[in-house]
Amino acid sequence: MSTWRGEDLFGSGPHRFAVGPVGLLVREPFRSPNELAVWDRYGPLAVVVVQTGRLVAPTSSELMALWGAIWSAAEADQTGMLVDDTGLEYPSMVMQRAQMTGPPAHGTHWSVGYEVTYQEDPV
Amino acid sequence: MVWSTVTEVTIGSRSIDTVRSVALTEKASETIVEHESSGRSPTFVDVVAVRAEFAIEREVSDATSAAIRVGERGTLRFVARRERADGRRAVVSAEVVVIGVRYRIDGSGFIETITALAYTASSSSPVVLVTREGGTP
Repeated sequence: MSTWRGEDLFGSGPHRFAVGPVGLLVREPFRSPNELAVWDRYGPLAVVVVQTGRLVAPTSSELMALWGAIWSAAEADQTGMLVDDTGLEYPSMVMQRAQMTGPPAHGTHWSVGYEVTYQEDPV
Repeated sequence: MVWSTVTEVTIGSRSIDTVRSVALTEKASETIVEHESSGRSPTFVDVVAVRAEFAIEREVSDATSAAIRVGERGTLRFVARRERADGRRAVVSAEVVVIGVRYRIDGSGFIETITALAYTASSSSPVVLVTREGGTP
């Protein structure tokens, strides 16, 4: 089970995680015929994790309550531990952005797709 | 669902004669399929849109005398002649748009198949209504 700051916000439906680019933050060298090329290295890139999934609920209002909890978490500007669905831990993350990936859908359940982006807190 | 013996088939004000059968096919037109990180099989599947199509097959004497055209709309209504347990016949109705008219040559003559897509003004209402003759569901 995945958690954000110890809370199960996404357990109602399936979801997956992908890690964004890793490596170094490097500025391209300034090139001039009279100067040597110099690479500026600023250190490792902040880790970015993108979570995609679907919230599932029996009613429209319950679905909106699930979405509302994610909305609140995204606006809370809090640093915390993200644990993905395989148990991998990402400490010191900030939930930077959350969005629906389409309108809520009504079949035998109410559901809506979402994408949440977490970024390592640089502080 | 197939009705092999039907009478009083109409689309809007137009009467459709010599109908052999009416078939109703329902198919998911939009599905949601979601996976998780582990495993190949989807862990969530839901049908959020359904397409209901009628196929009205009838005998015609001349395949060039098309009675109905693609794009025409109206209420499809017919009476299923098979007797129900209570002795009353089933009346089937739906708002439809004709999306296909096809012909083939059969041993006994020409066969016309009218394909009509059912729709409803309110998505919470049933797209096809089956009532007992007399009006009760």
